[in-house]
Amino acid sequence: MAYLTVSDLTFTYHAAKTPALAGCSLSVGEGEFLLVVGRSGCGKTTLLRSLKPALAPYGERTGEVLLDGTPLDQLTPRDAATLIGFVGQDPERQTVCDTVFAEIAFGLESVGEDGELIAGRVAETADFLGISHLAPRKISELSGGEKQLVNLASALALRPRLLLLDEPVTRLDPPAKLRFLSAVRRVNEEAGVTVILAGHDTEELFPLVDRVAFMDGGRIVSVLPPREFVKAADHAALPFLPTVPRVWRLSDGNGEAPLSVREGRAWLASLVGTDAATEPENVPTETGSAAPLLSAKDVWFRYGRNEPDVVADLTCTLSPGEILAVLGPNGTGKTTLIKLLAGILRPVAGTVRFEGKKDLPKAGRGGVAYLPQNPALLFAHDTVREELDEMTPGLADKEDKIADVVSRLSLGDLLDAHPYDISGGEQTRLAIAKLLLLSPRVLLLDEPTAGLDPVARGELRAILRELSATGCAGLIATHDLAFASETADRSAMFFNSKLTFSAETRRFFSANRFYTTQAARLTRDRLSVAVTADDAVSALKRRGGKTV
Amino acid sequence: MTYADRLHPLTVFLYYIAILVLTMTATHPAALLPLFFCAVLLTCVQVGMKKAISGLPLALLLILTVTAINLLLVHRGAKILFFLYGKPVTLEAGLAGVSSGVMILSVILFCACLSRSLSGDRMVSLIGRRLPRLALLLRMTLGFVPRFRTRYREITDARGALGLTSERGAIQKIRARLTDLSILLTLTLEEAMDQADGMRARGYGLPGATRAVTEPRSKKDAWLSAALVLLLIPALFPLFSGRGEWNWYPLDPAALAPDLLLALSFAAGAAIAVLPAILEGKETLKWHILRSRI
Repeated sequence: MAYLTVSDLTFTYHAAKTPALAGCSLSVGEGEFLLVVGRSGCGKTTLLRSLKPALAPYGERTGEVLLDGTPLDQLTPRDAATLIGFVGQDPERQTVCDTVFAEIAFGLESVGEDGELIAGRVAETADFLGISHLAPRKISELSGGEKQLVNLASALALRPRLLLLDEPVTRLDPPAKLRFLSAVRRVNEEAGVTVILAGHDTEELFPLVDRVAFMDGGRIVSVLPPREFVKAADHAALPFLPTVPRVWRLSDGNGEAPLSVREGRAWLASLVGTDAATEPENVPTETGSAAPLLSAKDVWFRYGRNEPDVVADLTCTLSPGEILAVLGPNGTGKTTLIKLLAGILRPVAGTVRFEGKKDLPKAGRGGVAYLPQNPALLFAHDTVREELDEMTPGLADKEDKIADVVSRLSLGDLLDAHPYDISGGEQTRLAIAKLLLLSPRVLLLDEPTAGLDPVARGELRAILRELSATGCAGLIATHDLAFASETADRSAMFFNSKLTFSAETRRFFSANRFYTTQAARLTRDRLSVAVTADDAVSALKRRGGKTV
Repeated sequence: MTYADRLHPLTVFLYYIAILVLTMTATHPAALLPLFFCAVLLTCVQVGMKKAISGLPLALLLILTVTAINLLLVHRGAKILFFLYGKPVTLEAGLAGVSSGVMILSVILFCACLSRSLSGDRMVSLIGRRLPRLALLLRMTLGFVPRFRTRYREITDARGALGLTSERGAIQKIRARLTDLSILLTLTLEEAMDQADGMRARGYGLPGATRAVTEPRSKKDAWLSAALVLLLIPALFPLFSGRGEWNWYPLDPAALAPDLLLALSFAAGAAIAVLPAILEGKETLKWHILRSRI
């Protein structure tokens, strides 16, 4: 008997023309772990929220949702709050209180648990998730990953039987992501909680989940166990496959689909043998071919006299048309480095030069442009058109310039939309359009892929490569290794307050054993090391592997 | 771990409130001076001698400023020191100024000590028992302020880097700042909606909400509260009887006459104020002894 049954659920937002959910049917067994994938705006969030009465969106709804045989709308408010836990995307926005203890206790206090018991329940939950040490800390001092674990703890403290997770790890860096997902796995396996997770970071999830649901345009297209899902993936579902099964699907596609790197390597060994290793091709690195556009020399920075150095003795250069990826976990100083290069912060020692001159050109125009991690910080107006207008006060060829960026970033259909109503990928494109109206020579991007679905990431990559072809240099601070390997010319790791091991991107990822892409892990010692999924597929095709 | 951390927040809070009331109402130098010494002593115990001394210039500046203002504004008093712009500058005004300065400084020092003894969330838990709604509001505000500040900084940084805030002219600058603020407001409203979801998802608004009990009362709290009540009765005696009221203009020599009842009541006030310093100091001393034995 299914624990959760959704039958023919159709939902249309108030004043919307098309339904956000169109006839969704789904049944989830008790203790099951279900992954829901699909593009941003495909209805994942609407579906998840429809399963939690307190969060159900307003609009027109038909169909039925049964939880353990009871229709959702017949649950008492208390049961609806305790039986169904929910954790959303943004770790910052869900917290309510100032300290971790108060935050985890919040739900228990709201549903009227006995005051004497609450501390015990908080302790138990925090211990299960390994965050007991955080209990007295202030929420504002925690990292994003820690905050998200606190959010999970405060949902779990109510002892839910169904846990809904809406893109819980898209804002987290890889170590925090792994920590969060392993906590979710324990909740599912050891506590037997039914979990539905919506998201597009499928890399670590495929081996964990029981079934994968693919949504497109408000419909549930398929619900299959991961291996069958890989086999059946069509053109629309392919971008959502993790690297290993994607390479398998695009090259071989026979037998059982590998889900993890370990399985993938076994599959490759059976295909090409273990002795087929070839040395990575030596790509000549062109350094110093052109005068650097932007350079930092021996730069030091700290936020206060008695605080530790965030940037220490850092030197880096950016040539015209070059894209440099600065990699490393969150909170190590990547954002500080970008702000130093953008001239927002002044180095304590050392110099930042633009075209050899010490003075950065005043505020962006024709110089250095900075895209913050949250592009919405730049939006002050009611329509996309006004946002673009704002950037070109009193320019004679204003209309032409705007028309140009609108077509380059395909914003044509969005001009009259509110900047807050468009998707994350569209917001990033709009923000880049705003920057481009300043005709910058250098773009500094802080975590541009956070929250983007795989298709939007691909679009962003294409935009950045196109800009690079016109001579614009780019620096991307990111923890998204796959994106860096596909986009950057050069990659460097930000570690210990400086850029450590900076190399041509292919060499960077093929030389690294652990800090590297899934594709490189898969192909090491088997094929010439391929750092991107596309490389791996084409290498396999060259060896005569079957194609789809 | 300080001594105050082991007490119930209510005990700590009541002590400081009593001390603050006594300090603010102390007009008699014989009442004020011991309280002032207690404030200095407690500060030294809490932050250490070195840090306390580093605050000395600021403290002197405060007293001097208050005195100077009093000298310039008040021209009453019998003993005229000199004339400034045709106005008399009197000894009494000077002494009254010093006295007010010392009083204000003591209040500031005690307030700082209170905030060191009772952290924000202990203070909130104190209110939470009686007024859960207010406590939640306070907790949210406390969590909200740091977020608001970083968010504003991010906006000005990002828009400033685009040249959208540093345009020429004062009016344009003000306009740019207003735009920044409107973005902050929009973002905050968006955030507030998510936050409200987070609250509703966890059953906020259901009838019969409770508060977590985190601060058990101990025997020590009972003893200290009893001591406070016993000492407060004599200490508040001057306030209610009007006896021992001090007037600087004019200075009454009769007020300087020894008065046993008044002396006892001032001593009771000083005893309340010195108690935290003694208890905290004992703790520090114990640490030093423990450490030296290791």
